[in-house]
Amino acid sequence: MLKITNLHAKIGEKEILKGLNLEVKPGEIHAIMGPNGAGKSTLASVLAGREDYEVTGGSVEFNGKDLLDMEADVRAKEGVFLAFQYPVEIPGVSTTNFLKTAVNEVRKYRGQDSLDAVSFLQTMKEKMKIVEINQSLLSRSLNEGFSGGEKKRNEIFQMAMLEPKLAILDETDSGLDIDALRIVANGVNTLRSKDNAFIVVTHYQRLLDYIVPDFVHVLYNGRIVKSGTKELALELEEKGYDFIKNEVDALTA
Amino acid sequence: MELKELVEKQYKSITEKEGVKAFRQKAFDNFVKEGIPTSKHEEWKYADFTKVLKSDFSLLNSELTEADIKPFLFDAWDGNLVVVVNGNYSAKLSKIVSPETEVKIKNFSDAKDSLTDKINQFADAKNNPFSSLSAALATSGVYVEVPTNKVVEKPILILNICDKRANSILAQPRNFISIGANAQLKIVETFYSLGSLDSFTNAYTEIYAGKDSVSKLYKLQLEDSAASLVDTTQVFQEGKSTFTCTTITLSGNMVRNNLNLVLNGEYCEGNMNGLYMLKGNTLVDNHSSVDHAFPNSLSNEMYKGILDDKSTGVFNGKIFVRKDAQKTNAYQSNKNLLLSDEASINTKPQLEIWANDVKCSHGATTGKLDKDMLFYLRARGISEKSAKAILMNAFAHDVLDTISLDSVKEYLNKIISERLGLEY
Repeated sequence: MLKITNLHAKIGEKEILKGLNLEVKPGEIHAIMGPNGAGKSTLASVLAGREDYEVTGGSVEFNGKDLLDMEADVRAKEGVFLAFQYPVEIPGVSTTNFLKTAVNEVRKYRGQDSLDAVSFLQTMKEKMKIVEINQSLLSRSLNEGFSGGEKKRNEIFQMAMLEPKLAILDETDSGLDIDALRIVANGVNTLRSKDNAFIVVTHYQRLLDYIVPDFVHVLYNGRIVKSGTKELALELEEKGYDFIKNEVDALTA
Repeated sequence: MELKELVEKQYKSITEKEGVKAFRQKAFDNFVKEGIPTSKHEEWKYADFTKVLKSDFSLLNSELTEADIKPFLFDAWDGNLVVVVNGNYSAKLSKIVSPETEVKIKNFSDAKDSLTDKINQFADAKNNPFSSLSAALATSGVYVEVPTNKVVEKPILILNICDKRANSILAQPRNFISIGANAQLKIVETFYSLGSLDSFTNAYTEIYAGKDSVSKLYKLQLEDSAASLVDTTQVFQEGKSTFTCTTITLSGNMVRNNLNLVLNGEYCEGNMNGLYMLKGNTLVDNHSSVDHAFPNSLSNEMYKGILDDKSTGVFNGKIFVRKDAQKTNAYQSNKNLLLSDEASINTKPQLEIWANDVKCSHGATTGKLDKDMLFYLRARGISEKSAKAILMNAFAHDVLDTISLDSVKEYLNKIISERLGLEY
């Protein structure tokens, strides 16, 4: 589904991704862990098409197409979804309203009929249950005055509505209390299928107790330096990131 | 005919009773003395109408039919309709539905007895020669009077149409609105034009808001690109009254709004809102002032602009807080989005505060659409064009939300959505 080969990216003059390789197949959940500043969020942003980042080398293939060649909205239409670490607040735009535009633009791109108001509302109600979010929140200005947990639940709700093939969760767990974390994780698990895939970017192991990954990768200094199964996450939790840093620094010294 | 000649000729043709005549004489002399302000006049720096006023205008009236005005009416308008064509009250096209016990609506010329003591009491002749021009020449217009304690259930729509299909037109619509103590009223005033010749409309509205009254005035300025407009609104508020004005300008050649509030008592609330969404070469200049003369009053001002192409916006907001007006709260904000490199905005807050226990704030911003917001929407599969439209629509929405008449709000939403290419 996703094949990242030797990806290099910079912001301004600073190179952040320095030759990253990753392959994700349908049905898989990959966790990307790493210390602060390793390039985790950069990877998520580059995949979603944020223009602040400049890709200076390598390739990203998504279902056989060149992902880097696509505008941000085309990536979403092709099935890439980014759950933002810091969802923006947009006064005057309600989730319901913009999501209707989004869902219908995506459906049109995929050759499906657009949803009328009634079926859109019906779909919304079904998906709302998944993340235990209520209608009044969705009618309010997007994320304005939302709690951290509400913002993240709203991200997962949008994911449910857009039915992506590949969802990238960028530190969705940051700032969440355990109850909100469970709700968010439960949402992801409900949406999981053999046809879609997830990249879960996180600093901590805790989220992975609830969203169990097939693979865990450690990102450090712009590269994936170690890959393993969920046990690797536990090892990281126990030993901290320093043991990886030391290992890598010893090799490159 | 040249403007000066035209004004003189018109003035001389008016025959009236002594009292009114003296009043007109004074206004006429004033206008002759001050003349049309040029860009050298501080208050008219950006809105120089001298060029516009070089056109060969006439003061002709026009007889329109119901079919002519139909395109300018709101869908399912449930209220009074007053039609003003080229500045003249059209009894034929107007439809008054409210009982006279609730509100008196009539042609200005039929209400002359009460004119002299009420009209032109609040105009600033020195800084606004157009107010003198209106007082000197306007012979027709809209007179609205709400008696004490009456809530006018049905709103009033004043539809101004400038018919400039056959001649370039100089029109002078004039409204006098008196709202009694503890009375309530909503008015919508719209400006449209027919035909493509030049026009200059010098509109003048005086509002007397009695003690404890609640009134709302919504202005929709939607003329074509050959039409220029000076629209002056003088509001005199008695204690504990609440007045809200929302001015929406979506097109025109050169539009100048003068909105002046005098808060003549304690616990007044004055709200001034505006949205200007411009393209082409349109220039819109919103000048406003609020005069806090007594303690404990509140004024709230919010103007927003979206400027594209070579359009120009001007915002000038004056807040006066006099020595005795302690505990005044005055808020002012002017936010602008510039969509093109050739669009411009000139914004100037002017606060003069002589009292020491007040809360006043003002702020002005000018910028482009927020790129994080744009990215967020695009990351959800929304195209760049739609994402921009959604954000612009959202930017405008809090001004539109100050309009509490659904038919008007829906009408504006529709125009603005269409302009932005938004689909609902």
